[in-house]
Amino acid sequence: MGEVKSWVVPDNIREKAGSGMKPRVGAVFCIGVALAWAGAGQSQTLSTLGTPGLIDMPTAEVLEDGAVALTTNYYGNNVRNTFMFQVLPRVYGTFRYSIIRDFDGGGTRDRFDRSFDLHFQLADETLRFPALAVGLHDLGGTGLLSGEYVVATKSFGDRLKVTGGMGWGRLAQRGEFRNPLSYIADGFRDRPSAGAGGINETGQPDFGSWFRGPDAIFGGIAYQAPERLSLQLEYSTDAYDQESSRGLIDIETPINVGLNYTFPSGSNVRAFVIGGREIGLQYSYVFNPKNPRTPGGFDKAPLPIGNRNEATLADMELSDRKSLTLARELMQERLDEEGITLEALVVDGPRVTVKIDNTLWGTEAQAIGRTARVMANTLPGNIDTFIITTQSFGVPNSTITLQRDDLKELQTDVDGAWRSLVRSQIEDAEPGTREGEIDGLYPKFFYGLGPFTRFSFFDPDEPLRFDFGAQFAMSYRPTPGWSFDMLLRQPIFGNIDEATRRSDSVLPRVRSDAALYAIESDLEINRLTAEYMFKPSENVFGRVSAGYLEAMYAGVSGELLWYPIDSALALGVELNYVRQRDFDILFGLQDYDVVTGHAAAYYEFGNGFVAQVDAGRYLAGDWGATLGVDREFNNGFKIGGYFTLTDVSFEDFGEGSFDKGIRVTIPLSWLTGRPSRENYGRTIQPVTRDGGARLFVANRLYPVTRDYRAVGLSEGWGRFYR
Amino acid sequence: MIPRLAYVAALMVALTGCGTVVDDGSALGQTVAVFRPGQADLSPRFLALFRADAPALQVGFVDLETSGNVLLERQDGAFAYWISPEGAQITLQSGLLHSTRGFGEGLLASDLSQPLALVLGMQSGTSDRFHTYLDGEDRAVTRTYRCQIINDGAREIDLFGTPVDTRLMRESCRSLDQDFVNLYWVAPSRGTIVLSRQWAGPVVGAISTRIVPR
Repeated sequence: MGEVKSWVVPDNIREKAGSGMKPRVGAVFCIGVALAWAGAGQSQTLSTLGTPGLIDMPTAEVLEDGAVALTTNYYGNNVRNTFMFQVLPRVYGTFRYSIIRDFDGGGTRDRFDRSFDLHFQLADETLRFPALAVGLHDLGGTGLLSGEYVVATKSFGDRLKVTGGMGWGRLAQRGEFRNPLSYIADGFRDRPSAGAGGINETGQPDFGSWFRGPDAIFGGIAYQAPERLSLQLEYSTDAYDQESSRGLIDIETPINVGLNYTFPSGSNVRAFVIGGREIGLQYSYVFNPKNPRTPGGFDKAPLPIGNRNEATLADMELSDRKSLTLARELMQERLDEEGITLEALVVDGPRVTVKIDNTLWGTEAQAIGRTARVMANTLPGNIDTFIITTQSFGVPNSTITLQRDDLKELQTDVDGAWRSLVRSQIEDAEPGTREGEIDGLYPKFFYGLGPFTRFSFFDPDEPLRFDFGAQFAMSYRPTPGWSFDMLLRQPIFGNIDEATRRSDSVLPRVRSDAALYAIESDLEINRLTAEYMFKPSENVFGRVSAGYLEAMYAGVSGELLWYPIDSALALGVELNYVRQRDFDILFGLQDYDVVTGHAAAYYEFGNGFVAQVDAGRYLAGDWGATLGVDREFNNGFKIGGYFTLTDVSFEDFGEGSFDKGIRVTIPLSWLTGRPSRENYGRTIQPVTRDGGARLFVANRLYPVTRDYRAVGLSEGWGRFYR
Repeated sequence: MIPRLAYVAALMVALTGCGTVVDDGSALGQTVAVFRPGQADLSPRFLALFRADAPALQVGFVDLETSGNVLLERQDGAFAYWISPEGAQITLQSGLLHSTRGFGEGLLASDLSQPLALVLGMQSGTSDRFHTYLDGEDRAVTRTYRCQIINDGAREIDLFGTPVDTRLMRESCRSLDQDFVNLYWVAPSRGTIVLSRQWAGPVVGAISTRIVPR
């Protein structure tokens, strides 16, 4: 990192720093426009499978830890779209959606194929030895791309890289020989046919065929030409047997060539020739969630902390009602300017407690820092200790105690963030009282109108379907903890309701009737709920919700979460009784009802990984468990995946065998550099079926409490003085 | 063929930020965002200072080729807090760049005790300086730079039409992976830096400052 721009000579600066004229006061700097988006800046080429490689063949290279690569290409009858994530420095995974035109039905139907890959770096390249890696392509799909490899890559100088490897499965379609592993165990000699077991067994890992059957040796070179251009040449062992036999691709030679151009933004454009005849085009975008738009952001500057005797109320004693009211009003007004709602203010000798609800800052520690600055510049000089209680939904969460003198002393300290964290105290908040509540705080009323989009993926008739429309949300909060919410949606255009495929599920159709909901609904009451959030005792949070909980279900939902203030572990239980809603998504209900609920454990590993296990009963009445693992970047960007296994057999589940998906959350502030609590989160499931399906309830407790607990606050403390 | 390419484009969009019918974004949050006005163009704090005729400093982002005036919001001992029209801030410690807020660069704070003594004393010598940056993952990271400071001799500079006698102090700094040169024109008569060019960090590069006469 850290490109250092060349510096100008003294004469030059005079020209730039001023021509002797007073510049126009009030001209904004427009830094946001001037700053270029920094890409990952890697000169890595990605193969047609969207992973580090030559053209069709993999190399033993990886991307920078945390990097994401999005690739799409087009050649012959193939379109491949790949999402690749460098999960760990030595491990990457991919999810791919490929289309092969006219593959099925004697050339009348297209093949739509989802595949997952995994790649493990066994050894990094050293001065003498090459990098070494092992990988699995399409490890649980239909087997069309399934193949395994062991590969080595070595650099010679700055420009040349040589790769050689051994492939199995699809990577041994040419020049194959007997599997060396079969000399050890005879079972490795033959490979079960790809996709054996048909559609019902797709989605399960094909342990039985990995590294089995004949082997072949592949290899190639990559040459980095000057000016961001690179060339690749390979001997490929992927002969496109299945495509070739159907006359869909013309392979005349095992030699493939490619040409890649990398833009500084992280975009890669490449052209390649496969089999001597097929010309392809590819675009990839590589970025790293560790690098947001700008690390510092464009937040409005905080107030410098002044001396005690300069505070607005420096000489006041907050002993009578009148002065206390004045202090509350002043604090309320100033915190409001910082995007923070003051909910209560209590004076106890030299200690002042404020309760705040952060409505602007994505990092709670920054909201606390801003609040502390306002307190220091406002409150009487005899106040020594600031106690800040974070609240959301009117429910107190954590309490942070800060010393006024520390705040001032450390605001310019080179290690101020860390030193102020060490000097602060973070505790669980006392269960709520309404002492010192700001007059007129309740009832609260919010509303908003905006657009919504809804997607449906991977319908073989139309792989991408969507709805776009307008939504209206409102929320009425009469007292702390209580909330009445409504969300109305009106689709304006889209094609989800054009889906002609109907559920073939043998289970209760708890999710697979999604198309019927889209077809039969127009203006929909997506959500209409009453909700009560509470904190029954130390380190415990509770929620009860009732009403039309989500588009497909109405009922009652209750949840308790035990989450010690300084703990990496949280445990929860949730119990729901719900009935399926009518397809028109208005007030009516269908006959299907179910008691569903889970016991949950959440654990932060401390290295950026968070795991969640939910065990219990799902919407179709099936029993089982879900394991989810997310890599969470400290700036709020999350990439993860989950899978669910229940007592529904793979056969009854249908295509995909069991429920699984990948999920991505992008904070708006990551994209814009401006403070925001908005996140864009999506879960992509290869197939949506009825087994292992969960109820969607708003405001599940772990996600809404977590940022305020000690681990979350400490992780964000770098922003305390921002 | 065209529709296929359209799929590809749409899928790329989808893979970057959209999803299946599962929608786990906060509906209320999404709608509220639409109505939230953009950040106001001019900071009320800046406007109040402007009306009060607060001292001004001309600031330029040399690499980004943008410049403007900032106004003094607070002087606290050696620390001067200057605010820009859009509400961003730079803090100078006796004229040396100490920290930035709101300009995209994550310079949280610096320890400048060694270069301060040499630059303001107009002496050559070797010194260390420490910068703490907020990195892309919101973590405070402190970096150390080893610097050579030399007195480059007398320079007469033009300060908004007024010639001023100065000494040019040149500070060349280096860490394992970064290097930069800061220039300070110190007026011996006032004992202050009247013009400078200082490196803020890898995001915005160098910042120039020039004192604007009252």
